[in-house]
Amino acid sequence: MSILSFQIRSLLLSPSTYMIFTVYAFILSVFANQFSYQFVQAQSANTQSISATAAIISPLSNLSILLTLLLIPLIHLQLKPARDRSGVERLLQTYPISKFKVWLTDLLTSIIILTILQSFLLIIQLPILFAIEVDWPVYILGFLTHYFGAISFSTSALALQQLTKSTIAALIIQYAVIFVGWGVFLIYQLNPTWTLLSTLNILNTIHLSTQGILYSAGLATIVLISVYVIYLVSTFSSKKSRIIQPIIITSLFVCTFVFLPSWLSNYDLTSNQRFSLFSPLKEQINKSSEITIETRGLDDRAKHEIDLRLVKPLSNYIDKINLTHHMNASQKESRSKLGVQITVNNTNIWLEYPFTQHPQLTLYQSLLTARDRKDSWVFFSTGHNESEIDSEENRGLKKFTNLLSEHGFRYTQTRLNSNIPDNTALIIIASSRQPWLESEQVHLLDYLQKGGNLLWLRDPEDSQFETLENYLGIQKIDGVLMDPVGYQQGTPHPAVLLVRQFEKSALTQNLNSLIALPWSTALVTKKTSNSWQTIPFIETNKQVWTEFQYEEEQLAYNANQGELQGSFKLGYSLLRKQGVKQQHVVVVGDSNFLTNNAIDNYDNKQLALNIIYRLTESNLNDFPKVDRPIDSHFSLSKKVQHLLGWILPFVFPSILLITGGAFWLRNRFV
Amino acid sequence: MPLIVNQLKYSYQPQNTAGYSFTLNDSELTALVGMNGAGKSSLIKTLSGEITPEAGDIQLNQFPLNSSRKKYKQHTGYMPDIFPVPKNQTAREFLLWVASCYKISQKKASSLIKSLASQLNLHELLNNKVSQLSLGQKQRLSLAQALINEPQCLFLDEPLNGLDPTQQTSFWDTIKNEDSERSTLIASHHINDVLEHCHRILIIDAHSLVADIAIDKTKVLLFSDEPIIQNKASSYEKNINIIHPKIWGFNNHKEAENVATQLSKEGIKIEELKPALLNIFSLQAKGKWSW
Repeated sequence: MSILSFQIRSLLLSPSTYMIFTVYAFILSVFANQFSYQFVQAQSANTQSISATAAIISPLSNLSILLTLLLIPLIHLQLKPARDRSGVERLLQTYPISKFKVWLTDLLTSIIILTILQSFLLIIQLPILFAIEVDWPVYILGFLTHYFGAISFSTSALALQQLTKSTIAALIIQYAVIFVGWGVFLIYQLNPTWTLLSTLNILNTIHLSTQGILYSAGLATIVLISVYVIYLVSTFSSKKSRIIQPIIITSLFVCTFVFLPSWLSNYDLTSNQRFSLFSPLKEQINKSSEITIETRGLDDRAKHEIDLRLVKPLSNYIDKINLTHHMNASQKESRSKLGVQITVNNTNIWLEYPFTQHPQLTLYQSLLTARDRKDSWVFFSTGHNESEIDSEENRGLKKFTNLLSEHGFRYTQTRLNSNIPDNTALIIIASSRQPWLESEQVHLLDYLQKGGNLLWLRDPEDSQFETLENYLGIQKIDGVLMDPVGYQQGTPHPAVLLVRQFEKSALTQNLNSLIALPWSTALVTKKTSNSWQTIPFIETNKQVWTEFQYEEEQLAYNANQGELQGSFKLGYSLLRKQGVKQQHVVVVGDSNFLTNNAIDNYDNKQLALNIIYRLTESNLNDFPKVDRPIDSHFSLSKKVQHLLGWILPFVFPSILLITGGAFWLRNRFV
Repeated sequence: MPLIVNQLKYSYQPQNTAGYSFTLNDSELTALVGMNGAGKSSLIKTLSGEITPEAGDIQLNQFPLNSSRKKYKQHTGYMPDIFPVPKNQTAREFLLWVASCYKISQKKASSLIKSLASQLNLHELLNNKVSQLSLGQKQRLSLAQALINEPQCLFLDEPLNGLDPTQQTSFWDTIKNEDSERSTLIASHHINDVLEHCHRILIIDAHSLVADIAIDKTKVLLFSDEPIIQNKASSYEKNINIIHPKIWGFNNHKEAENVATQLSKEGIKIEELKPALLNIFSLQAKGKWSW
């Protein structure tokens, strides 16, 4: 112990040690401040439901391990290499103290310095820990794994340092250990399915633990490597030449290491179990199923998120997962460019990135939807001069129905002159230009009364359908809507409406540019005896008017003729609870945006998909709820602001620097 | 208990060289002499445990260095040729640190340091940084660290380097402590001092022991640079004490002169009568002498 205390004392009186402490404290404090403010900004923008542990503590721990790995070799240089330089190492060999004990003393010294660095990390994290509701299991796991990981590195570096008496060589050897670790990390990134490599990947184990995943095999590897290295040093520093025992122990170590991943499981310690497989999803997927996951155009960070939230939880349950990363973005027009294609049970599911909700939840919903789509139909009404589903003409819906096929929907066009079957997911009325028969109206209203979903696309030239208007409480206004602003901006005719701004809803999500609605009619609400929750989701700009003489060449707003001008509603979403069903109806004052002529314009296709997905989705009440992380709120009080803003980044490192300076002066002049 | 060295070899000894074999007796002051590069420091380092022997045995108090390293080293002291300069430590802190390596309690260490400081005139230096000490001061501190565990066997590598004449006298006084049963091996080039103070001389050449001479101060040493038939020399004087084929010891100067005169008449050149060893090394340096 006394040798250790001499060694520690010598290190703590060395100005270079304080220099290292200062660099470590300064960099960590600055980044703690940076991460915290980024989190607060994200929180105020309410852009995502994030965890403070994942967004502040974890990156800070990762940065800390990086700094520790870079700085610890410099501390190690003050141990054996310094003794070699001064000649003390020669003397030590003549004292009754074994080489192993001296090495162990060095290791303990290194551990104590690591503990000091770790306590600095804790000090820097303290204001953050006070400002959030800490996810303690995650925090403690991350903290301890970080600590043991650093000790494991330190053990290996110190052991290899024994091989040389040169200071430069000692430094090179130690940094080589870091690069080997980094190399394993990079190779693992290239092929994350190599289990053995993942176990060896200490950096990944530390990273996972800071996220809240107890990667038992990786953690056991960290401990095993340390114990094994200590054993090797103890064996080879003794003068007795033993061969058999090291061979046996090494074989045992390798065997244990190889079988570790199959013996030990992973545990998700996060408060909302965000890295575990949802049990409802588990029920939807057969354990023996083969799942193919292909990412498209994702960067490393996105891939890592997918690995953590989707691939790892699935691979713990499913026997075979094929994972491929494609650098190129998806070329399919019907989907957004970046995302994940999942093939399970011969069903293709596309998850867009960034995720708007937990990808497992999206996958679960998609699986349910896909199952439902296989059992149900989308019916297009016909018989009243509606748009034809197989027609390739301008007014035809061929492109739209191709899109439906691509997304797994089954559809047909039929006259509603008999009872509508129970397996109907949706009825689409694509602008009826002729009146409906009484019997057809009865069947349609009966279908709606039972909770059926409807998409009613209306055009200015639609025939009157008063029964349905009264039932839904939506009617159209006479005239074709004219948009002078859109025309000025380059539309071929003022009758093509451009809509830029949308109310936030499921129907308008992922609309990145604008939508173009040609030849449309305005909609207004009217009294109805049915209890619909009616929400407009498309609205024109204020210069739009209802044109009666739309076939004339000179078009102008004419109030005398009864034309109206202003902002008009073009789309309504209607919602009600009908029995156990959540019933959805969408009425849009335009059918042309879905036709072959216009579906490829701007974001029309996305709007079409949004409407179809919304109208065919399963009962939301059945979906599992994902809890928010308990540490999703960060209250940045004045005290915390001061601590993070200047006390920790500047005062704390300054104190360390001044202490080092004082020791330097003392050594030089006293 | 004596230190017994038997067929000792270290790694950089030439292949065909015989291993070292000798014994260091209790209370005996033994000098280790030889030319530069003869292997004095290597032998001392091996005996002290700094270098691991390749073959042979070293045993102290029945504790072999190979198998009982700790116990062996517990009873030996070593003063290296170059004294280490520990960073940021005072002389006292350094000695306390050495004491802790020998598991000597803090209290006992303090009392030992006090006593050694008094013997080696270190009192005023104890609170100075080791790095600030002069060469002579460092040598005294080095001797203090070698003596702190009260060793039964002491190995000193060029201990007189950097010591002024007064300090040299003080050094020999400390080493020749008549109350102690300690055996001491001193590697040195100071032949006159060695002849005056030591009981025995081990002469090594090319990593091999070439002469083990017990110094009898009542006898006169005579040597020749030519090989002589042993019987020839002894036929001139009955009292001749043959130490080595080329060195003889005589009871007095007169006897030595008589033998030298007789041998000269027969054409055998006699270089010097006394002091013989200095001349030997001088001749060896000129390539005119080989053991």
